[in-house]
Amino acid sequence: MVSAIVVGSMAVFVIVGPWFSAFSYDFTDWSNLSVAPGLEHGHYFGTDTLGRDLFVRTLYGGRISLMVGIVATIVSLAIGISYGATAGYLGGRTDHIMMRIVDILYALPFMFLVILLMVYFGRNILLIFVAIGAINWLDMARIVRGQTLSLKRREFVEAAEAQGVRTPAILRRHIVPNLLGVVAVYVTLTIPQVILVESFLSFLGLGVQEPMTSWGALVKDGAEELESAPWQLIFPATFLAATLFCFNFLGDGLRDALDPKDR
Amino acid sequence: MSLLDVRELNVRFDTPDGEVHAVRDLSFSLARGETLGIVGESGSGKSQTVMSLIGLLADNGRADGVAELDGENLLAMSDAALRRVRGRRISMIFQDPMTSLNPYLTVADQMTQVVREHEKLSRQAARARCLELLEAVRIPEASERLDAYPHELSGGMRQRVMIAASLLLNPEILIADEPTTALDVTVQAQILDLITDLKQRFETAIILITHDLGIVAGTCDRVLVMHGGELKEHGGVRDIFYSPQHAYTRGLIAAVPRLDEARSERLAAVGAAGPAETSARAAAAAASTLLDVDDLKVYFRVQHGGLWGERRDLKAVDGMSLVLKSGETLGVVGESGCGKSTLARAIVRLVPATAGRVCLLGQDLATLDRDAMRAARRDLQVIFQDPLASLNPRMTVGDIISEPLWTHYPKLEAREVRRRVVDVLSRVGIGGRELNRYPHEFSGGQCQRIGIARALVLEPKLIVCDEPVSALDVSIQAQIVNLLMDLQAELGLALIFIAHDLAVVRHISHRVMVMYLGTAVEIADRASLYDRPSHPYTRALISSVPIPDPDKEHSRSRELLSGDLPSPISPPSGCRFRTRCRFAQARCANESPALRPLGATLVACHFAEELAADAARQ
Repeated sequence: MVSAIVVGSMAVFVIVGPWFSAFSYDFTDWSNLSVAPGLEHGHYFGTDTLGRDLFVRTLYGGRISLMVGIVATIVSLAIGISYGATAGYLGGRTDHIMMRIVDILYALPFMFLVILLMVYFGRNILLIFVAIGAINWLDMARIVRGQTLSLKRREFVEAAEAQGVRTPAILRRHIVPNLLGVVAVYVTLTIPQVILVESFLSFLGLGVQEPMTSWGALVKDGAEELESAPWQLIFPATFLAATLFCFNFLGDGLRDALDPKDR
Repeated sequence: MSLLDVRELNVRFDTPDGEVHAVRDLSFSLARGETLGIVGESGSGKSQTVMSLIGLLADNGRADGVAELDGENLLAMSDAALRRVRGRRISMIFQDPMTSLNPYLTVADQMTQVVREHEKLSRQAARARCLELLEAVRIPEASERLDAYPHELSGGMRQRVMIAASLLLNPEILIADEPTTALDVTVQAQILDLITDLKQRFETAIILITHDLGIVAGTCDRVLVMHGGELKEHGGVRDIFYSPQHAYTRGLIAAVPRLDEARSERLAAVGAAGPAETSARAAAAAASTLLDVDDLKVYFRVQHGGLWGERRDLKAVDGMSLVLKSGETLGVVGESGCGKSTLARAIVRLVPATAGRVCLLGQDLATLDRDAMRAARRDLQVIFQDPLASLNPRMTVGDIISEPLWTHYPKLEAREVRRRVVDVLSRVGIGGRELNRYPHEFSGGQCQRIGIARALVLEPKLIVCDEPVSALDVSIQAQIVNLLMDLQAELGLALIFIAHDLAVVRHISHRVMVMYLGTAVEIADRASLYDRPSHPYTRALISSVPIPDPDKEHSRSRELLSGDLPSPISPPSGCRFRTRCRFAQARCANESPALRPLGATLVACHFAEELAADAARQ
């Protein structure tokens, strides 16, 4: 419950916060290069080496990071659930072929894929969504398929089959709702994972483009100035860590909330 | 002086919904060498009683009162002292022999572990002791079994190993918590016979916890009847059965379907209203053929032995034929693994048939395309064994029962759907107010009623019931059986009623088919099957069922089957039953007997005539 509130307020904050800030994310304050946090000069989190306000940059970074996390997860959710549930429920040869495709995709090195995309299409935030989504649905599909296989032999699914319920309806009414618990947990693990991957890419310089930023990029910049300006690392890192932590807790809460037995 | 003396035992559990008082003011005593039965339905507190005695309550449980073992209060003992008592003085056998043995340890490892925990013994000496006990529990080739892993043993064998392990330290008290519930009747009879025999040899006092009154009648000296955590009645086994004092005991005894009595139309339902009007089931006899199953075979391909093992056919159903008239009930009985459930699933085409035909109203179901099959399913419904598992936990009861209507009559108005759902629910005895509740809010019996309602809502002609009452308590079982019989009388349903409980099948069926390893060994009308069983397997099955009547139970001579069901992957040649048959001869190994008429009965045995003549002479 606390996690949900923290994550929710974090989201609101990163969306609304920048509107109230006196600075924009790419404005350089020449008189205050790399100053420590303080109230007197209006840079609550200090500024970076280029004199940009860290407060507003952290919030903008949060927008990007959360967006990457949520969009990429929704993409992987949609593909993963439909793919996994279909493969698992139909079983037999279809299942074999579908899962072998997944195995092949798994075998592609992720970094290679990202670099390839970057080289061909140039750096673009959309590409990051595509790349991360394209990798993450594989895990989701596997998990969903495994769950479906065990659900399929449950008697209520057999009962539906015995009544002649059509396959799409069985998937929709019987299989997918019963997957929700596991999926909810997995989603809340995926979002932080995706945020991390994006941070990692940004850290390597493959992620978002300057002057736009994300938590990962900020952490990278901060790490370079760790000795002279520790606040540049501490603030974005705290935001990132708090968000990841809350998402992990949220998973457990969601699973319980989705269980009709507790209603 | 009594060995164990329990006074005013109370067991309470702290749960998020408040305190649950599982056992209330229970007092009893146990003398040396005595067998005490504790009988009750699920939730009666019978298991918690003994768990509290040996200090194995769940973490949120508390026990108070006095339980003296030779003057020492078990409830006040330290954990270390209790551990010395467990195993050495009191040992326990659990219900499920599949899960109470560690799959990674050999039989010898598990057993010697117990001995060496309590006594300083060399490895060889411990092993010798184990061997001795395995022989005592009549495990064939015991010295080889010592190094077997649990999965290499059958259920009955594992329960024997458990019994042997619990007797290793020669305890004074053996607690058996539903020791035979997970086993087939033929194996149950072997185990009960063994327990009685061991009691005499080792002079152990036994506390036998069970829901089955038949078991109590045959093995116990005294009986406690528990209900809702309270002791309802306490007395000698004959008093309990012949002059029960408490209304609950009387209800419980009346609710048990019996093999030995003339069949009454209804089972007395505990706590339910009096008997309703009797049904006109005779009308069924003249009806037309509804279902015709001809030489049905269902094989599954399985990998045999390891990763690279050859693939072989598991012949779950191997050439079965049956005919069912409308309005008739066919009972199907057999031990677990004999293919009953596969037969049910093949009839409703949940598993594809390998060969043979299933014709419903003259239509061969296997030839139907998807849409025609869907239409045919209106007439063909199924009820499953586990009531809760057969209802989708995320759908409301209203939705669950509406679903068949949505599927088959998509144009039906929402109001009409609702009317029909409420109507069918009231038919099975559930009020319309419950429509928006979820399955887990109902008890097992109510869930089964909902399952029946779902099957009924399309007004089918045939319902295949796959063990519909085996997961339910005796009194609930009686209600469900009565409900099915009433519905049959009102709606003219035909039922295929699959069960392993011969008494229930006897109660509900017009005709009965006995299955063994995927084939029918005997088909007969109810009276002749139970009064004059023709096949040796049927005879053994019937004689294995415990009768809830102490005198009859003690005077009865049993035809115990030896051994377990052979593997359906490589069934014995010729007659499949010959490996366990007392009358087997050379011919049985070579020639597979066909089902052939013997009087009104169809029986698959080479020597059916001789056996019948023998039985008549006796």
